[in-house]
Amino acid sequence: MNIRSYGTDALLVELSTAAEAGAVRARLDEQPPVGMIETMPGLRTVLVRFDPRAVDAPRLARDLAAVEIAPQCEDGAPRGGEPTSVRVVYSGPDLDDVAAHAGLSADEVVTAHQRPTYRVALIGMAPGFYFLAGGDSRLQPPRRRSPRQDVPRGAVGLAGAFTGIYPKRGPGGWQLVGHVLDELWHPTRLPAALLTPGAAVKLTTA
Amino acid sequence: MIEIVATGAHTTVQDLGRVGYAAWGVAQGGAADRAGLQLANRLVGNAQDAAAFEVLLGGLVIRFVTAGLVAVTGAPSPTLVDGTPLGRLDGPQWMPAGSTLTLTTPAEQLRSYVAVRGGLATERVLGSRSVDESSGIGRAVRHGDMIAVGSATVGPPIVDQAPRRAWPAGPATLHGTLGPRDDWFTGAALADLVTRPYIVQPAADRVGVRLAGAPLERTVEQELLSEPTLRGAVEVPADGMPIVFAADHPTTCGYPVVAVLDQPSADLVSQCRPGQPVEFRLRRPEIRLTTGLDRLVGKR
Repeated sequence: MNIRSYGTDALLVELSTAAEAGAVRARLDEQPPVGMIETMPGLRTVLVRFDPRAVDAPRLARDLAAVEIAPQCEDGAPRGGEPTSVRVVYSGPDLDDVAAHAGLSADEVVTAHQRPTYRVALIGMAPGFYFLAGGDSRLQPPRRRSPRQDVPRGAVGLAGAFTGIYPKRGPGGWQLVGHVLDELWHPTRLPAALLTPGAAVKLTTA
Repeated sequence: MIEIVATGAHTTVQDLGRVGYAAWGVAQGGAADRAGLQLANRLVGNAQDAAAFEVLLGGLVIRFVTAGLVAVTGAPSPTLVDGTPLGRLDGPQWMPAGSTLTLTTPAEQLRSYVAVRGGLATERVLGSRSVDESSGIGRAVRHGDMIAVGSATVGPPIVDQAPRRAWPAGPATLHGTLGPRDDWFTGAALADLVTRPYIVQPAADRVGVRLAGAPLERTVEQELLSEPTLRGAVEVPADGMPIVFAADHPTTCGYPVVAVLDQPSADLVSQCRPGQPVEFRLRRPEIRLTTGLDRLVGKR
């Protein structure tokens, strides 16, 4: 693992796979080192916030380095159970750009985007923002050069190896290919998220 | 009980936010200027994390249905009690039953904090009373809202007047630590970051403070896998213009973070108006290590 200072009050731990990152984070939450305040998940990383009055960074770094990395599942494999079906309308403003980047027609992009069974890798970037892993390797455009300030609620976007679903209107830098019809995020009820990390998802044309 | 008579440009209830919900994508949130909120609370004898009003650019008018003690900190809004100018901020002020407190527009900075002794007793969501509009938690105050006062006191108010630091005449200095992804940027970019001024842009809000200046050029072209992020992190999108994450920041970020500000500087940047120049003063990171190498050496 790599361990780097993240400001003065946190350390960023970088692992090789999503499964390792999940395992390290779970272990830290079960047995928090002295001074740890909370962990925050990333796709391959874990951010460990600490109280600098309770522990210094070198001591915490040593404690983190000693955590056993024991992933429980294959990276990229969905958990068991029927995939949840999510309906998508493929009319996003960046669909043609994504097609051009992939060397496909827009229709071919839609077909390729719907073929795999995805896994929810993370809820992050915004409350209820789903990162779906396992997509077609041709559909991996970069983020937009400058983020949009106003992405509509339910928008489906691509960036790198992930498909993202925006839970509400707000800023965003992903390439938008469409939007979902189902409501996947309820901020005022718990659990607020209809899809949980690890769940299998199929995208279908509305 | 507090009655909202006028809301001002944008007023929300804030405390020090909610910790432990990052896996849902919910950021800590809380006051944009945490020290400002904490001072207001201390001045009225509240617990430092009691809920108070965060007032953007003045305009808030509140009526004390029941008598109480109030303190105003942060952006220097000229304040009136029943139409009479208060003459000073940063100290406790007694408000008789039925009296009205008015914050006018501050000449500098952005956000004032209005703490009432006992704290504002609005509903807690996920452990905090902080409004986080980007998460869909709570809403700004509205004309006619009646807000109860709680009992979050820790002792009597013991300071009559807190000192106030003058706002910098030139660029505001932002202190922080380089990294974690400073190695994604060219040496020239890192030199620009600490030698050239950056200007706060109008698109600054509680999510992030956008800056404009010398674009920061990257050495790495691949996409960054989204990493968790914090208030004070300085992310750099593809256009090279840094954005400093504020209280309601996204919990993960796919653009590299070149530096992370110290807490007092994160507070300071949240009070900078559009047009304010800032300059970065960054120290080297304390920890940068890779584990497992010692095992490789041992095997030889």
